[in-house]
Amino acid sequence: MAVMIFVAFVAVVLSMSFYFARRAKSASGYYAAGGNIHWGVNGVAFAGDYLSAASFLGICGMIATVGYDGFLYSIGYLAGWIVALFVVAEPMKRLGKYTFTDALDSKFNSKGIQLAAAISTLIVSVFYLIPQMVGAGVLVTPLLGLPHAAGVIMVGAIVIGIVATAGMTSTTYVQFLKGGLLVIFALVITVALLVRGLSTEPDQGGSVPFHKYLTVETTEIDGVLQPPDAESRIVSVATTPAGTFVRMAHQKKVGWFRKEQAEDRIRLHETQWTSILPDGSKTVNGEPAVGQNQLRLVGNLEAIDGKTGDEARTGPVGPFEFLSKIGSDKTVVKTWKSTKFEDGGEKITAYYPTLSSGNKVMRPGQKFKIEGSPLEKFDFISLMLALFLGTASLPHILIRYYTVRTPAAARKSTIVAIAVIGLF
Amino acid sequence: MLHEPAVQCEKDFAASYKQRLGVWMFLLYALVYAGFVAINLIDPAMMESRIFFGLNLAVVYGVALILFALILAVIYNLMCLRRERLAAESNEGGN
Repeated sequence: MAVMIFVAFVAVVLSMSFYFARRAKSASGYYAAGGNIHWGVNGVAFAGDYLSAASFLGICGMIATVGYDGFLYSIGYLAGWIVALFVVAEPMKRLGKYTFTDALDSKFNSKGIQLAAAISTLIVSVFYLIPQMVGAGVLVTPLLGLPHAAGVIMVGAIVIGIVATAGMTSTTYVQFLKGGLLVIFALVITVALLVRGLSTEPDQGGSVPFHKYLTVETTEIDGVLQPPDAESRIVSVATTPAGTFVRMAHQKKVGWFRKEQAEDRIRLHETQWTSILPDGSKTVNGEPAVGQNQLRLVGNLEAIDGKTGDEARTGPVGPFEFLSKIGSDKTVVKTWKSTKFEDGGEKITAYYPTLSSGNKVMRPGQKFKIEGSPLEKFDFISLMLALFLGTASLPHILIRYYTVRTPAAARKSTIVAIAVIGLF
Repeated sequence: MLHEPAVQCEKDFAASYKQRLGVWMFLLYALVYAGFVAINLIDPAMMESRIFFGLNLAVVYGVALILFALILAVIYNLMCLRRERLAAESNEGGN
């Protein structure tokens, strides 16, 4: 099904590209779509350009792993559009050139500016393309079941095909489709999420049983860790910067546990782990990494407003209630971190849970230590400033001001972009 | 690359007004945005305080920044359209 939808979408966009390619007869048509794009279409295309892998994978992933600090990117990126609208959109349009470099060059006619602009364009483009292509590979692997490299090559080839055939005209309509679909499906997912509500034991509507991770108490005698019961056995212990990890045979299975020492008691928490064996083969949670044996989906609430289990299940919730429940100081959020180490020739990657209270997750500070040292505070200021001013400098954003006919249309398309991206 | 205009634009008689308005609105938004950054740096715990509907200041301020951007953008557009219309009318009258 996923492959069919993907092939159909690619066929549609490539057909569009070849159709527009026949109509693009001039440099203006190729590089700026002849300035004939409607501002509404251009606005949604702005959103399509902007809501790239970095946004819809990166920000969502950051919110899932570090909470509000991921949302900082949404705020900063959107604020950046204000700079684009108030300071950049119309003056750029009035310059009337194909690119910003072209505008600078026509004003100053300097070889130095040309060289600096060329170098910076190449550097920015390369470093911008790398995460986009990695994102493409990351998406293609679970959706279509293809290897990562195949995803990168396939998506790269399709994008080159679309851009090379009809330039900005085809790019604009493809981005218009992409932006529209992203917003619609983000809305669908949001509604589905709110209808399902919150639970401490998410089971994807009953389709995937919730895995309850083990925590066992144990002791140490003369500094030597003891197994928690007679049927368990400590196999090995690894000390890493992320803590002490214990390989233990427990309940007829061997797994890695993370040691937590609190005052007079020791707890061992079950982890998920992958291992590269000396012969190069890979295992997931102790079994060969084939077929359905993959890492389990993680990230859940351990307690909602102080409740656990069935009692905590909220049922359908509104957006305010959803955010309020997660942000409660009695809510406990389980997020996951990873660490790598070696054990007896095996390269282990352990994924271990950490618990945070909801009120800490729903405010800045999980990733950016705003309560830390002056340097860490400076890091936060630097991030917020870069997000605010960075948007208006992105080459694929600037170029889109040339695809509409008038400065007023450039302005209106920016407002449409703000509305669509803000909704997302 | 050809060094010719991508699209020929007519003279914009409201350009200087729009430029001034844009800079002032940018400064207004920057001030509100700086307030968000400042609270986080000076009193991060304040971001946890509940404002309404059980939502904390961090969520309310963050969403407000997004909505404020949209409201300012719409106001800016309306003011620009009005001035463009006036500029066009006075230009026609002058001719």
